[in-house]
Amino acid sequence: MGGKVNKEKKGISVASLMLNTFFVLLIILAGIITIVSLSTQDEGVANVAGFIPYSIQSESMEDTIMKGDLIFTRVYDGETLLDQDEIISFFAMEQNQRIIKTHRILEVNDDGLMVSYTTQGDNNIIEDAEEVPPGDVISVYNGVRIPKVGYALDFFSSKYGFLFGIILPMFIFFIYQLYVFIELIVEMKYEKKKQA
Amino acid sequence: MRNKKLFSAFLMLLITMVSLTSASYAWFSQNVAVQLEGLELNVEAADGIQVSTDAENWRASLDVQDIIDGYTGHTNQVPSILSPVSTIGSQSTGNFEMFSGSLNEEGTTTLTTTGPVTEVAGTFGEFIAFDLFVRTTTTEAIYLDDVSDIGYVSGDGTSESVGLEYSSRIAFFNQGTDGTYTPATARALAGGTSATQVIWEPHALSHTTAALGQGASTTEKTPYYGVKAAGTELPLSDFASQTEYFELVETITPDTDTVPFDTTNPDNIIFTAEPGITKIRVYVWFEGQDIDNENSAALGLSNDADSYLSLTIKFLKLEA
Repeated sequence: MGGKVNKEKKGISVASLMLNTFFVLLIILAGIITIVSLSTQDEGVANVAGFIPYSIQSESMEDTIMKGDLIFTRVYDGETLLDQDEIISFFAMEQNQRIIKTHRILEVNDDGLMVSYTTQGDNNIIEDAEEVPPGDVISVYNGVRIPKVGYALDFFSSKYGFLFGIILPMFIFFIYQLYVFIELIVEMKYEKKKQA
Repeated sequence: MRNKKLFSAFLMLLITMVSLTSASYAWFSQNVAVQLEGLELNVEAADGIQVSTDAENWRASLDVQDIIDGYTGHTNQVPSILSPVSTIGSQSTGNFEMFSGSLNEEGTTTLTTTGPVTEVAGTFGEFIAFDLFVRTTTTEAIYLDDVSDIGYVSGDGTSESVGLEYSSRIAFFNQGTDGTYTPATARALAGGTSATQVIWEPHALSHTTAALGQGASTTEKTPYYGVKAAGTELPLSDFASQTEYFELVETITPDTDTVPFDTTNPDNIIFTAEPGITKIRVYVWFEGQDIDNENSAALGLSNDADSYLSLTIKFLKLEA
């Protein structure tokens, strides 16, 4: 009987530890996504201390960068002359919509008066239709990529993913913590009364 | 021991509360779209042409926020709701002379015009006006790509325009070129007697039902009486006062329309960019004297409150 009680207590402790670990990780994840969301949002781009994370949406740069990867890029200063073969993220127009592309510099066009970059995706057959002026370059890829994490970022950054994947669980955890806190206070008051 | 437990529980509660609050704020701020309602504006440049709103940061495309930001001291006027104004394209101190007007239709119809209207930086005003800089290293004749247009976009997907965009005009006022590629010098360009301008009527051959009933043409541009001066209560029906009327207005025909975008036709050149930084003052307005600018069109784009104007300007150059 004592052994059964001990096993039950152990089970509850393990479950409690796992639950607490899960919610701590959730808080950390929420913190990261909150920082990314609230960081400098220039033209829809999140700048976290000079670095910009991107979730890759297409296969145009495979096998160098895969669809679904989370990559990290450093903000471009707008003046430095970039080199051939550097991978850049830049604004481009497609079907009247401004989008962000991440492609490799094929050629640097510099006649001393004007600079532009000819770009191409590693997995694309032809180069991009329009040259990229320096003002459209957002950032430069620094080689850091985390496979598949881009998918998770996309989900948790979406309106409902963030709401149901982060805010709702955190709200439940907050209620649980509030319950634990109130329970402790009630217990302490009861013990004080008993002692009196 | 108990106090330690209580303190830990309180700390955990606090951390959770702060995280929940900041996450909720982040979610909320991400999902409240802040945008200029009523207007979508894009300027694009193809064929290696580079454009800028400040003569320093060169890009292949610009959007409405880029234009609103402009440069220090700019007078980019970008309202989301346009009201009819009129001009003959005359220039004064580097700007078009735009006039407001009203018709009094009680008894004898009279026209009153006021202006020229002063352009002020910001999102208020009756028409759009902004500085655009184009950089090239060789002389280039610049045309408009056929995606260039000003059109009505339904907010609910079903409503239709009442035709106000048929009276739209877009003008390109070439204020000169700085051949030294110096941003400050380019920004200071202000036209002068040698400045040239082109007025484009995107929907010259489309008309409201009422305008068609008055004889508007669907095969060629329809001239109109653009306002050129301020005046008070000039009777329109009294042709004994015709001289006075034409002190206020002048017959003009837009320089170009949408059909065809034929780069072999020199009439379709919007402006010529010389080597250096060329400054173009772009104007977008509803021409109050256009045959399509009548009461039914003046109700607004449509009865759909979420509808908006979409304006796209895309430059390209004559291929060698």
